[in-house]
Order: sequence, then structure tokens, then C-alpha cells
Amino acid sequence: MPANDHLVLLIEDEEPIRRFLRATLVTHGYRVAEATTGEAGLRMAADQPPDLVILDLGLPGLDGQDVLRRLREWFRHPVLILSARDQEKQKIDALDAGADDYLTKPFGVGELLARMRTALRHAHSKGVEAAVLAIGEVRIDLASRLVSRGGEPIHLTPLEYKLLALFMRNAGKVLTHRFLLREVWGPHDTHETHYLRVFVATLRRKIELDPAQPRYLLTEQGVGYRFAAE
Amino acid sequence: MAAALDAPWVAVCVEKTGIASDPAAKQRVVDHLRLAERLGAETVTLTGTDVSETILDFARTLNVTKIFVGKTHSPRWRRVLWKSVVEDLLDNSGEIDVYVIQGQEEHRQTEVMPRPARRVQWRDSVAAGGVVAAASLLATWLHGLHVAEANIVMIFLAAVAFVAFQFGRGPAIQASLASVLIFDVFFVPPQFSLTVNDTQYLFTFAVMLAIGMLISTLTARLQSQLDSGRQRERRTLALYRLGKQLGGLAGDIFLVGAAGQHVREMVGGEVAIYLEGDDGLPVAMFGEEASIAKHPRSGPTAHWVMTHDRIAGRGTDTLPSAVALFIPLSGSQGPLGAMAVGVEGTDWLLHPEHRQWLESCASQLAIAPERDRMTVAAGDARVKAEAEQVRSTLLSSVSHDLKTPLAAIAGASSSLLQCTPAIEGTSRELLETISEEAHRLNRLLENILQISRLDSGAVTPNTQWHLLEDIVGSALHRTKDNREHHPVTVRIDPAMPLIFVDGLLLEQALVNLLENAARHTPAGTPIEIVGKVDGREVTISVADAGPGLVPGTEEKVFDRYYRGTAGADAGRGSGLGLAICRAIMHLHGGTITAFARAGGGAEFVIRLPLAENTPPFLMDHFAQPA
Repeated sequence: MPANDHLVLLIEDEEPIRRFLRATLVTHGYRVAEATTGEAGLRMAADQPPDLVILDLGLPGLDGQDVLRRLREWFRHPVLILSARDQEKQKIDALDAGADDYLTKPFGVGELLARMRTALRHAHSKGVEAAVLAIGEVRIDLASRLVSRGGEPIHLTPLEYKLLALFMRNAGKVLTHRFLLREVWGPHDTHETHYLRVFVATLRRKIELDPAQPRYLLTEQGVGYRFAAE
Repeated sequence: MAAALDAPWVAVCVEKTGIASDPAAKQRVVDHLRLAERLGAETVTLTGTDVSETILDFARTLNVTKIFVGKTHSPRWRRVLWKSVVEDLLDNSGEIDVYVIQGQEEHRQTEVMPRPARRVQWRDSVAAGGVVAAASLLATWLHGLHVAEANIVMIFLAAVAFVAFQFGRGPAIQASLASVLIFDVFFVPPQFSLTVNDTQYLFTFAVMLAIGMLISTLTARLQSQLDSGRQRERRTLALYRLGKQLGGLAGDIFLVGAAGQHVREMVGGEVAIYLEGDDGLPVAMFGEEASIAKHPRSGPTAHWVMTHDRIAGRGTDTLPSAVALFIPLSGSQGPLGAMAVGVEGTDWLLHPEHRQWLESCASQLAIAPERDRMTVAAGDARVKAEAEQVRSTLLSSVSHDLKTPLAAIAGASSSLLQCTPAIEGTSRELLETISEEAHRLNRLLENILQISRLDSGAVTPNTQWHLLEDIVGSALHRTKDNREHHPVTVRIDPAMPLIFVDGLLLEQALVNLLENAARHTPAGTPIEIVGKVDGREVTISVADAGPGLVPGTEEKVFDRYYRGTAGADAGRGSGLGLAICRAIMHLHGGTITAFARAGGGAEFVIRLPLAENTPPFLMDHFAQPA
């Protein structure tokens, strides 16, 4: 078990969920603070700023979305969202409002820990970025703008390169359509999602062995894309 | 013209106060206004002393920009002496444009309506004679007192004025003639003869006669205005009462009954009211027992009136042989029925004001059932919306209440599995069972929620342009834990265009098909996904090489809660997966069918109509080196 000493704030109204999350997190060396309402959560975050927040979207009283918005006014550390499957719209809203990732209930502990690790890693690597990123067989050299898979160089158009670099820098993290469109194409055209879909498909053709069963560039249907973390 | 300008227009008729227009002209005006209404105008009848002033006042209040006025030919001398309405309008219109249209000289044969014969007025004449006699007696007495002749004339004048005021024109003329005679014979020298010494008495006679006529004319006019005012008031009151009564009622039978009784009381004849039945034919809802409704020709007349939305029957040019006057009940959505009014003789029915009044009653009555139906429809819609609200609240609370403990069970068991590697053997197996079953229960719950949402029509597909490859890929990713032992091959036509679907729903359908295939086939059985363009359709087939479908169940498998009998694991599904697939395809205007594969195994084929205006991105595009 890694002893990492990160403080996690858990904002969740359901006792059973809180209990197993607490047990899991403590076992894995995290320190845990708990709040049952949005108001209490905001207060606790201000009193003792945590390294990561796990926020349930379906809170009584102050809604999860509002908690997120208020939190993001000053809080820079990662926020993970817990939501139900049929809440795609809320997920997207939360991600666009500054949440780092989401987990759909019911989720396995492995999934949760992986998301937390990814989020914390990104939070800590800000500013100091490696010149070379490698995930599986895909390698991108940000300094010389070279991409390869299994040692074979891959030729990408400038736009495809931009997209891949964005994905790999945020490996393991879900990126919404809106975010990707804004980052790659600029602030306009954030509704033309099908351009993005076509570009992602082209990129898949170049980096995936079987583009219909991708290993790296995964689709989060209705939300966006996620580049596999490892 | 109004249509060309796309402007609303108003047809105006001005009734001059104090001038009783003749019934034929009135009927013509009514006809014109009705025509204007049919052409889309709003019609208004105004009253005023000065026609042009009244029109301009009205035009200014409505911010009218153009006035069209018809000009009829009139002789030159008349035009010199009196300004026509048109000239008046032109002089005073100010900012409003006035267009003059040459009216056609009308030679229309208007049916001359028989004036109601006047009652014999001998009684009035006798009374007038009495008044004159009394005046004569008074005059004789005053004459004895040597009162001046001028004042004696006044006595007679007063008598004439009184007669004119009380008994009308005819007796007034008789009275003035009698007065002149009596005055001449008894008071003007030479007495007891018709000869007159002084010619100035002739002047006196003339004035007496003129005043008598003038007063009687004025009185008659006043009287007729008073009468028509009273009548109008009575009818307005009756209409108001009818409106009020109808406003407080609900249900066609009651509405029609109230209106029918009301009109019958006012008219004093027979009334029958027809409403459109389910078969489109009029059904007598009021006065079924009356002779109108029993007459064999009434039904067809009512039907004609209803379908043509025009007045017909007795007293009109259309179907005049009918026993009653039929007035259409036209609501805003079309004809609702007809009202038949039958009275003794046709005079009453021919009177334009009466007809207008009946038409007003008919329109009041037509509004009522419509309002009633709308109220009922609005109520139904509200109940439906409330039921929907309850349903969705119930669904989301059930979903939350069941999912939370499930999430806790799944999470806790996975936590134990992950964090305590020391647990081994049977205990680990049991823990794994808990975890897996919690997930399975969750999928089952999601399926039930999904099918209820699809059933209730609460799902509106969020359709966007998608790549089939992308959706297949995410469906495979979502099912990767459930089909570890089933290799999947995917073949998608390189010419596959973008498809216009709800990505999440299509993914759900593919997930269900993949899980279905994995569940019903032994481990190691390959699954094949093929996407093709077939004319104006896209077909997506998910096929396995398993035991296949039981012959004859190709349709049944899409039934709710149907579970295949083949395969040991068959009972483990929710029995809803394929029903959900079908509902999703239905939502997209597509179909899903099941086949037994030639080489064994089951094949499910989704057919989606290819959308128009597909963005020009083909899979071909990717095949070329960039």
C-alpha cells in the first residue's frame, strides 16, 4: 500500500457509500475528511484545503453542481464527481464547470483509485512537463514533434498532432467534446461535434491496431474521450 | 389589396342616427359585411350623425393607414349642393390615405319585403277629434272673454302638437286640417263661413298645418328610435343572458338545451339545434320533439348549412322550402352544427335585425361547446402531465433508492477484494459473487428503468452525426468484462457515411446485443459485427456462432420478459435487453429483426434509415494517406 498522505474530502450524503469509500481510502494511505451536505463540504474545504475532493452530484439541499461552482471559485485541486448512468448531461455540465473526472455508480474500487491517481498526478505535474510522453506503444516527443508506435514513426497532420498531444498530456482523464473543440479549433464551433468525431477516427486509424476496438483512444459515449492511462 | 399588403383590414358600416334605413338596404349591408368577414376582415357597425367624421374617428383610434371608399354616381346638382361622404373624407382625412373606388350602379333586384299592414287607426283619429273638440270648446270660451285671435290659434296649435305627439302623423294631419277648418269657420270673420276676409289668415293656416306635420314627423322619428333602441336593448340583454348562462354550463346537452330554450322564448316559435355527430351527420340535440326536427327535409338542410357554413332554409334563397331558417354554428375550428328557427310566417325571419340577432345567438352557442371541449382537453392534458410527473418522480426516486445500496454493496465487495489480498479460496469466490451479482442487479434495474422511460415516451433522442465505428468501439469497451471469452471481429463498410443517431442509445442497443450474444453462447464462441450501406439504409448486424434461436421465436425474442430456453445461462438476462433494442430502433425510425444464421447461430440485424444531407465525410476519406 503506498503511503501518500494526501487529504481527501468526501462530500456524500449516503452513509453506506461514505463508509466503504472511507475504508478503501484509509487502507490506501489517504487521509479522509467527510461532509454529508454541500454547505458543510464547502466549509471544510475552506478550513483545511484538501488535495482532492470526491463530490456526489445528487446531494440534498445545495446541489452538487452548485457546490462544484462555488468550490471552483478558489479551489485549484482536483475534483472527482460521482453520478448515476442516466445523468450524462449533468456529467458534462460538471466537467465543463471544472470537475476533473467522473465515476458512474456503481463503480469498482480499482477504477476509483486509478482516477484519483491520474487526477493527483496531473495536479502535481502542472508546469513541469516531460518532453517525451509514452503510453503503451505510443510515444510522443513534444520537443521534436515526433510520434511513433512500437518504434515505427507515424505521420500526423498538424491538427492531428495537436489533438494527440492534448490527449496524451491528459492521459487517463476524460476530456469533453467542448473542451477538445475549444483547445484544438479555438473558441468558435464548439457545437460541431462531428468534426471532432471524424478527426478522432482518423487519429485512431494511425495509432490503433484495430480502430473499431481501440486500446488507447476510448470513447466516453455522450461525454467525450479518454486516452488510456497506461 | 389587404392580402397583397399583408395587412389586417376592417369593414365599416355607419348607421346614421335618426335615419331609419329601409330593410332592403340593411339586408344588403349585412350581406356585404358577411362577405367581408369571409374575406378575412373584421367588421364593425358604427353609429354617428356625420358619416365621414365617424369613420375618421374610428380609423384614428385603430391607427388605420388607408381607407378605401366606394363612390356611387349622383347627379351633378346634388353634388354641388351637398358634399358627398367621399369629399368629406378627402377633406378631413389628414395623414390617412383615402382611395376612392368607383362603385357600380346597382340594379339589383332586391326582394321587396311586404311592409306589415298598419292597423286601422280609426281609434286614434277619434281621439284626435276629441282633442280638437276640447280645444274648440276652450277656444270658444276664451273667444267669449275677448282673447286675441293669435292666442286662440295657439290653443289649436297646442292641440295639434299634442295629437302629433300622442297619436302620430296621420291623426296630426287630420287634427291640423280640422283645427284650420274650425278656426276658419267659427273664429275668423266672417263667422260660419269658409271665406276669409284677411289673407293673413291663410298664412296662419299654413303655419298650423306645417307645425302639425313637423311635430308629428319628429315625434314619429323619436318614437321609432325609442322603439328600435328598446328592442336592441332587449336583444342585447337576451344575448348577454344567454352568454352568461352558457358560460356557467358544461356538457353539450346542457349547453344546447339552455341555448335552445332561450332562443325559443325570445322568438316565440320552434327551435331545433343540431350538432355534428361522430359520423359527421347532424344530430338533433334540442327540440327533437318539435315539428322541425321531425320534418324529413330538416336533417339534410342542417347538413347542408353545416358543411357550407352558410345560412339557408325558409326566408333565404337557398333551400327556401325547408320548414325553418337554418343558421350554421361555426366555431373557430370548423362547423359544429346548425340551429333551426321556425316561426309563423316569414316576416319575422326576413327582418335583418332579427336575423342578425339569431346569428349572434348561434355564434354564442358555437363558442360554448368549443370552450367546453377545450376545458376538457386542457384538464386531460393536465392530468396526463401530472401522471407523467408522478411517474418520472417515482422512477427517479426508485432508481436512487435502489441504486445507492447496490453501489454500496458493489463498492464494499470490490474494496474487500482489492484491499485484502489475504482473502483466498471460497471466501474470495463468495466475495466475487457478491460483487458480480450487485453489478448484474444494477444492470437489470437500469434495463427496467430504461424500458419504462422509453414506454412513457419521455425519451427524446439526442441525435447527432456519429461514426458507426466509434459507437461500436465504445459498446465493445463497455462490455469488455462480460465478453472476455468471446472474440469479436468488426467489419464496417469503408463507404459508410456518418449516421444521424443518438450515440448513447445506439451504444445501449449494441451493448444489449453483445451481452445477449455472450450470455447465450458458450465461451470461445466468436461474435461478428458487420456494418453495411444498403440502398437508403444502414444495416448493422451482430451475429454469433452459438446454438442459435429456437425456430419460430424470431419475433418472440423481442417480447418483454421473454427468455430463450436454449443455453444454461439463458435465465440470467433481464428479458428486457432486446425489447429495449426494439424500442430504441423504433425511436430512430429503424427496425431490428432476428434470424437464424445459415451456418448456425443467431443474427440480429438493425436497419436505420440513412439521413438526408449527410455531411460529406466517408470512411474512404481515412483510407487515403493524409
